[in-house]
Amino acid sequence: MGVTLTRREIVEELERECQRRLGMSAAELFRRYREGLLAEPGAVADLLILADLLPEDDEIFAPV
Amino acid sequence: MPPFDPASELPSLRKLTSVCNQGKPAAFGAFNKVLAKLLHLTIMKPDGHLTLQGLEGGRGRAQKLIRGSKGPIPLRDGRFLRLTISLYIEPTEKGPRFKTWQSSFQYQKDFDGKDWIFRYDYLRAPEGSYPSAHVQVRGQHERIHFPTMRVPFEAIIRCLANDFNVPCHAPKEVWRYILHHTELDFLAIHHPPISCPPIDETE
Repeated sequence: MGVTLTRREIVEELERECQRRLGMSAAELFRRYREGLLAEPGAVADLLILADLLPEDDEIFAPV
Repeated sequence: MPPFDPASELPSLRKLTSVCNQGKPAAFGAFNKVLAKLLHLTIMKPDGHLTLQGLEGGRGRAQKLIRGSKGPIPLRDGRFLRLTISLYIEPTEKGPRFKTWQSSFQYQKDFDGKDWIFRYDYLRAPEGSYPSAHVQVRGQHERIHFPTMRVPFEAIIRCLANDFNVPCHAPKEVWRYILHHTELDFLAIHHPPISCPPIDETE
């Protein structure tokens, strides 16, 4: 039931929206979020939640 | 659409809620249907749709995601609700439980969300200094994360309908009745989180 997304589709959306809204890569977004350096997490809450679908060891969460 | 009858709407919603309570994979679809039904009854435009999404061949911290199928969902006042919820099933001593991992609801004037009005976030920030569950209202204090407990989705719909005058599809006596009961059903299975980010006990 529902729609199945590939990792590529999720990562492409994260990269596109991170660049459009914040001018940074998705990896940089998650690094800043992890370290409490993201000024306004609510502005990208939908992206943070979309990334919940990815495994915790996905390379997008690796240290930049 | 036929006229709404609260007496016939509620049993189907309760049946879906009972599926959620069982904590089986069918809970994801059932919860998606509950949210979609509540939105259709109230503030969402007829062409609005929710979608249930998952990752192919893998499993992250959450197993499923619910959001608007084309981005923020269109509302009957011409504005938008950016709705994003990640969900998972957790095995417990009392059996599997269907839970929300993170959620965010943002009421906004434009599709892109640059002109947002308020948002409720429930985020598990590992190092953030703001409360896990909070509300932000745009204005002089938009950078303040006012702490809240988890706010039921029904309360957000009610706020938009009552205080922001977003028109509703069903008559007021119908949606008020439905939201009243589905919120009570939600609260019966709700597990309130602590209002601060988690502490690493190993440090």
